[in-house]
Amino acid sequence: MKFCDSPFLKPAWAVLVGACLYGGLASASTFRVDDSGTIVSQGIVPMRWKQLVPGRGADHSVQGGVRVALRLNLARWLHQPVRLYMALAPAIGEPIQASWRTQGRLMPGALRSGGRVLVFEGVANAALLEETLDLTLSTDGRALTSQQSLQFYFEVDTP
Amino acid sequence: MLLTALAAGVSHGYVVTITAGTRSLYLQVGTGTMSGGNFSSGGTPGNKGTINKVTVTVPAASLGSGTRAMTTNSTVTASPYDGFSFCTVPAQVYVGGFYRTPGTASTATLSVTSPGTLTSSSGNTIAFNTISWISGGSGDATPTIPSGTFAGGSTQTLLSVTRNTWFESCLQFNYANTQLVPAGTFNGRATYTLTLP
Repeated sequence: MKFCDSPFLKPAWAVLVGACLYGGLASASTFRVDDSGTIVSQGIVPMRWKQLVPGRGADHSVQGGVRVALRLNLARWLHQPVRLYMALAPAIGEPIQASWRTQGRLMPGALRSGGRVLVFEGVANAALLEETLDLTLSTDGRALTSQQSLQFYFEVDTP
Repeated sequence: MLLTALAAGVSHGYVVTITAGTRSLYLQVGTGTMSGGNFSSGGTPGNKGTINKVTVTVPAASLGSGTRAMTTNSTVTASPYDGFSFCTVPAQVYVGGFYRTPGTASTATLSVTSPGTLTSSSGNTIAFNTISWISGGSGDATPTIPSGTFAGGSTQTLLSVTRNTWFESCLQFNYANTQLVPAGTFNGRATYTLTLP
């Protein structure tokens, strides 16, 4: 039974309509995850040229790293099988590449802005999933001319 | 009120703010400084106060007899970029560098400023525009910095440096030696400048 079909929620019809419309934008069974309490270790991440000096056939990418202490609220899917994805909203201009290492509760991986990648598949055994990501970001340094905010978020697909 | 209350405690995403790469500029004329290996392998360029010399001695019997090659006290033969054996010493002076910047800013400019004359201690002079250079470098079919002659008494543009590229050439200087001049040591300093837009 999907969230939007649940008779339990019918009395709160105003909230329900909003929630179902929201869920329907992505997929009937895709939901954004509440990550309240997630902490990004640096407010601003300075991007540094991967190669200090350019040259023939040079690498023009810039790279930066940041640690993210994740707190994902999975209470809604407790004891249910879920597929959890990390996503990065589309960036302005050149694509941003993100890769990350984890401490094992989520899978390490990589993605480009505008995409999402599976980071967990299985039964949600705890209401709160805590994990630390060592996130590495890179893009074409010639195109990154000003400060840019990257919006990461998590989605759950339920079977 | 209910919707507002529900939304207040829920967050759907975190934000990482990134900044652009820094602008940087490097120019090496003759001897330079690097630490930690060649630049391409992670070496870091530094400041160097050395001012190299280019000299020629003209015997009295050869005064006014035509072009004479000058030699330098610079010992730089390898490209600081990747260690490639690029220049020949004491014949050539290494000139190279880079300009790195994000965005679409226009090119940097390499120029040289020279005085009107070289001057001896007794006040005699030789026009600076009697000194020219031939640009080259091992393996370079077309020299990056064009060959030329000092304008003397002014600043002249040598090269437009495209952003995010390394440039380098080896300059062989020559004295025209077309006039009879009094005996003495004649000095003058040419200053190379790389200017960001």
